[in-house]
Amino acid sequence: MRRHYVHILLLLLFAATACKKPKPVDPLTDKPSLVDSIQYDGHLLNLSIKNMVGDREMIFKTSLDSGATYYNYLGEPFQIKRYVYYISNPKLIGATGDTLPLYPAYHIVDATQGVYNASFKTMKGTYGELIFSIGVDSARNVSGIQTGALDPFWGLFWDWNTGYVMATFEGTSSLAPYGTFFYHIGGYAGEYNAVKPVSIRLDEPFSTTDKNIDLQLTADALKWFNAVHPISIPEVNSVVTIGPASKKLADNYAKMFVKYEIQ
Amino acid sequence: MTSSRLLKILCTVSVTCFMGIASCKKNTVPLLSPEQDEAWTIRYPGHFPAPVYSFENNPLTREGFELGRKLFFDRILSANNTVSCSSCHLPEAAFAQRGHDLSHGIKGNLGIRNSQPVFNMLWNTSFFWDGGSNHIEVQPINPLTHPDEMGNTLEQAVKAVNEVAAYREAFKKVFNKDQADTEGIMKALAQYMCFMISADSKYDKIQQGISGYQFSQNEERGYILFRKHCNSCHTEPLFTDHSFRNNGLALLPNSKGAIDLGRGVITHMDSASYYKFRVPTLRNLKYTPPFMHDGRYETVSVVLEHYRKHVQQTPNLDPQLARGIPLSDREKDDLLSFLNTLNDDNFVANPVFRMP
Repeated sequence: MRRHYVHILLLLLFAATACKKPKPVDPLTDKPSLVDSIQYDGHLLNLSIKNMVGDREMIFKTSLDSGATYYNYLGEPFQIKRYVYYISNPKLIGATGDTLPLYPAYHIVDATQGVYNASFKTMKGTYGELIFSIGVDSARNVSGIQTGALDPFWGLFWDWNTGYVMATFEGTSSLAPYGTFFYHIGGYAGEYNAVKPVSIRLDEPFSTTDKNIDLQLTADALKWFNAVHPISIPEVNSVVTIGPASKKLADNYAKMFVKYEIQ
Repeated sequence: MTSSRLLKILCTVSVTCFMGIASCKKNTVPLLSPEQDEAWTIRYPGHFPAPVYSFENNPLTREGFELGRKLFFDRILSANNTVSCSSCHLPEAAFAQRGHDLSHGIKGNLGIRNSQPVFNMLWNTSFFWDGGSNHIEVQPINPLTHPDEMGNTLEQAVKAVNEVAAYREAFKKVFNKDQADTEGIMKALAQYMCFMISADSKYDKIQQGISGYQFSQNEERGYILFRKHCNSCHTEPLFTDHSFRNNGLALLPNSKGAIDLGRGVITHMDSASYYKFRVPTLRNLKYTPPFMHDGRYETVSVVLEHYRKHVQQTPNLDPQLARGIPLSDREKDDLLSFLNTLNDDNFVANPVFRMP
């Protein structure tokens, strides 16, 4: 009989604990719950991103165009065929340090399509800094199929080693062994994390209370070759996996936003 | 402790667990066949752990499952309408491909690895022999776009699906989307694959204490041997611990002439991961020969011979296999008898999972 009591006790215990579902945690919705309380009552922030090569226009080598020849800091010549990267989770930082998340959160900046433009609703207020990441945060890399800019459809996704390709830079160079170079940079965690924070600190804060703000950023592709680590095309021309070379290139592209203009 | 005493306790614990779980709405035993399951909810027995995949962002419905099933068998997902998922994952082979060490993809192309069975995906922590895919919802993108498998692009596949009116209607109904898209296709496939639960083997019936089922003496002896020699990697009740291990296979060139690094393909900066592969489940072995990542071993008996006498001292060999697994002939027979209790004929024969 005593044994039965133990069993019944155990049973009740299980019955009581088994239904305790873990609280649904969803850090992944485009609009986390806190946003519901944010009133996007300000004017628009119109962000544009222009990709340059040093101080020259980025002209692509295509089937109809031999493109332009650029030179990296070592004087190595190259042409560009593809230049595309993710930016994600933009936020405005207010004068008092408060943070305003901006939506949509994920963007593909494909330089072959020209200047990238995105408009964000804001909250009335004064802001002195824009932050975002180059790449896609780890949560979105480990949570199954995604939509919009994160649809694997866009080809910036590794299916054999799950994760987003944060940035891609491809082209040709007479100094590369096969005449081409490929930099496909992925990795969302650990030592080789290629998700890089960017901060655009403004000399003068702006207000979204009375008018729309146009903010144009300039990104310089030459930074891939020497912003932090020197990269020589004959030595580094095929980077399609995660490792020391991808880390160096990611450290470099983290510095590619070189200039802003505000209106 | 005698084994029957142990079993008794196991049964008590599993029944107790079952009662606990049964008091929630879902996860009830006994297992119903899906046709009987009006609510179309996931069901698995109480001796199974909590699933890894949650349907939280992909609510399971009968229509969603049916859409996934249709897609799984549909050749329009391949570049030239010749192969489907089911070409290499056949229902009658527990969704592997019996008799093929490697499978033929589009244009007869050969891959480098043995096609793995598809069931109990709900508990998988990673996918593929090297674990390169981290989620069931993105896993199909690889075979769909791999030049040696279905050879397609996502763009083409989505387009092909949208050309079929019945699919467009189904996507509207299931996901409230006017068109099929990557997300819809992947979520439907996930519903189908995650619903495929194999938990109705003799072993499972005994674990649940269903009357009329018990191990024979040789199966019982085999079970004890299994727990002693195999369970640390092929851990009950899924018969895998989802880890990556080198089980001492000779390092032979694969179909492309290279030595397969296994997990090392994914974590190539870590040489300690080289030659390791995902520990495969031991369920339904009757249906899934040949075995190993390259399908080099024809039968389960050959696999046991490997562990008895042919384990190679290669880099990163699992320490537990340093001296192989010593088994007498009789012990080998007993172990084979136990492994046969893991075959789930009802799962394999279930028409609900077969070609619609």
